[in-house]
Formats: sequence, structure tokens, C-alpha cells
Amino acid sequence: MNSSVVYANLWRFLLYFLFQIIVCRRVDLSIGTFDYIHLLVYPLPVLMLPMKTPRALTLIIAFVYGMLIDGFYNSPGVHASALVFTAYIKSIILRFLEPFEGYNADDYPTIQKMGLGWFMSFVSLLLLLHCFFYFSVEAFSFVYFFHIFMNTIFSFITSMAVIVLFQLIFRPKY
Amino acid sequence: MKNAIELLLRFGYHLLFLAMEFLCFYIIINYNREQKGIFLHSANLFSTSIDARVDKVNQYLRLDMENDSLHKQNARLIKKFIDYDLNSSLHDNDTLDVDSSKYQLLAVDICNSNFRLRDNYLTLCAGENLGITPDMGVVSQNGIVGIVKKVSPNFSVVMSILHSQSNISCLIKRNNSNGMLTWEMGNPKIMHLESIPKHKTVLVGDTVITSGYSTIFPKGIQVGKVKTVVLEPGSNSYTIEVELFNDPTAWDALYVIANRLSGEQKRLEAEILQNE
Repeated sequence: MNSSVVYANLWRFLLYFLFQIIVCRRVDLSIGTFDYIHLLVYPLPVLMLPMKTPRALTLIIAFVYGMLIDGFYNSPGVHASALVFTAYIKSIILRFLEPFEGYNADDYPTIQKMGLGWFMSFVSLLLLLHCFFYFSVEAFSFVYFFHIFMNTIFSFITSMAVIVLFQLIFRPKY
Repeated sequence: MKNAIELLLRFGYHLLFLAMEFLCFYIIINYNREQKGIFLHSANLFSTSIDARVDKVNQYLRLDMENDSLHKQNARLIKKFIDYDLNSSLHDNDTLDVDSSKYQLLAVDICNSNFRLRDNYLTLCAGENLGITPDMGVVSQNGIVGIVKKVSPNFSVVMSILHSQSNISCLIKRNNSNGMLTWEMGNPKIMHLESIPKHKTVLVGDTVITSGYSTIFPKGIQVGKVKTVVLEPGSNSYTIEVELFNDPTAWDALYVIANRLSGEQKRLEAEILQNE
């Protein structure tokens, strides 16, 4: 049981990592001068770590994973900082969305366990914050606020669609 | 110790988050050219504004030193003025060099001062170590202050002109009539000029200067101006009120006058007294 959860998460990290760097990184979704769409699906494995994962461990995983992504994006630290931020916020959002009876010991943040509504609000909140943080750090100055804002909105919508599709297709248990 | 560990357990997660973000931003700034440019530019804006502020504070802190140097410069200027006065009034051009350094001025700070008592003293933050000896005169920019009475290595006590025993030989500048400047308790800005005989003319507004008849004050330091002149019936001399130029309730920069030749003069005068 326990080891299968670990393996499931490892596979998820690997697959999303590969999908991000092989597919999302190369897909060009710009339409004319409208180039605000960037697929950012790699945060999902961090969000889907089991609820009982130690918070500090989540941060460390997020940092290492983010640095690996950065290695391929050739932007050291940018994705990592956004992902560490998302991992930090995750614990707060989890508390915010906690059901009345609290979480069970065998709860995982999946559609199967928590329901589609819960999963959608959980992932969309975090992904939106992640996108905003990422594009802010990428621009590195709020002078480019319009740029950051547009990037955040359109990247969030497309990435969210891809993530939800994946969830519906693969239906992960853990 | 236990508390520290508890604190670390409770906030360790947040600290770890901050540390990681810090590390990330360090990496971002150091390895991304674009972000580095923005960071350096912003940091420059920030640091220049900080620099400007620090500079302002520094300037304020330097005021003390500035003040000190101005004080000393003033001492030199007043000395020059005294020398000039002496040279032009007492000597011809060919003996100019004789007295050119008779008086030395020493800029000093004031430690303690009084003006409400019958007999007032003030304390200077300079003593023997700076060459101050008893019976030196003390002046401010606008007039006379007192006479050094006692010195210790680092301090000296000055008998203020506001003292019942204070007796300073002064002149009416207009006609050189000589009198003694004394103080009676009361208004610290008003002193009395005594023993000016009634055959001299004294007008309200006349300037009073030191006479230079003692070894303490050189001639020509401005003291004050005549405020009222009264000739009491049956008296042989005027009763004159002098309004001081300086304000004894607020001394600021003071100067001790050292007369290089005072010892010589005193010895000579003492010999005459002995011989008689």
C-alpha cells in the first residue's frame, strides 16, 4: 500500500517532468502576436503528494524538482522559486479546503477520493498562484504588469484544461 | 534550549520556505542575465537613495567637528583683531613686530555656568594641560566673560564678570575716560561703570571697551554701551549703567587670552612695590 503510493508518485513526477520538457516546452501556442499561452503542467505532481507528506519534505521535493525543470528551461531558479512558493501555499490551501470532518488517514488529493469539485478548486487555486508567481519572477519587475497578467490568465486556463483532462483519462487512485 | 527547539519545530517550515526562496532568488539573480540586469538597476536606485540619506546623517554628525574648527578659526581672527588694535593704537610702524604675538587666543568649551547667584563662576573644559593658568582673561565673540581663578589639569574655574568682586578696568571709547566695571546682583545684562569723574562727558550710547591697564585683557575689547547716566547730588562721579553686548545667560564659544608677557610685567611692578 505504502510503497505503491510512493511508486505512483515517483512515476507521476517522472511522466509530468518528461511531458513538460519534451512536449510543453516545444509546443508553440502563439497565434500571431498573441503569445501569452504557456503550458505549465509540471506543478501537478507536487500538488498531488499525499496529504500526510511532511511539509518540509514537500518544500525540498519542490525545490529539487523545480531546479530540474529549470535545467531544461535554461532559467536557473525561476521555476524552482515558483514551485517552492506553491508547495508552501499548498499547506495553507489544504487547511482552507479541509472538509468538516477533517482529512482521513488514507486521503489523497485526487478526483477519486475528494471529488471533482474539491479537486478543481484545490488545483485551480494553486495553479493560478503558481502561474502568477512564475510570470512575476520571470519578468522580475511589476513594470510589466500587463504582460504578467495576460500570461497568468491564459496559461492558467490552458494548463488547467490539460491537467483535468489527464486526471479524467488516467483516473489516478493515489 | 528546549524552547529554542520548540520554536524551530514550530517555525522551521516557514524558515525553510524563506531560506529556499532566498536561495532561488540568489540563483535567479546570479545566473539569469535579464533578471540580473533588472535587479542591479533596482538595487542601484535603492542604494543611491540610501546613500543620500546616510550622507545627510553624516553631515549632521560632522557638524560638531565643523563647529570646532570654526571656533578655532574665530580665535585666530579675534587675535588678529586684537593685534591690529594694539599695533595701530600703541605703536608706530617700525615697532610693529614687537607685540605681534603678545597675546595668544585659545578656543575652549564651557562645562558649567551660573548667572543667578551673587557670586557667579563658570567652568571651562580645558585646564593646565592646554596651557591655561590663573589670571588669564576669558572673552566671547561679543565681549568679556571673566577671569580664570583656579586651574586643574583638565578644567579651569572662571570668575564671571557677574561677581561681587569683579572689577574690570574699562574706558569710554569716545574720550578714553577710565572707570571700573562692577556688577550688582540683578539683571545679568546690566553692569555698572564706576568712578568716572564728573568733569568728563558721558553720553548714552557711548561704547565701553577694556582699557588694557592690567595684564588680563588687552585694550580695545568691546564690552557694552552706556544705557543710563546719572550724576547723584553731592557725588563726584557718575553712576553709569552699561548694557553688555554679550548675553551672560547664554555663553557659547569662549576664548582664553594668554598674555605672553604678563609674568614680566608683574615682576617689574612687584619690584617697584618692594623697593618702596
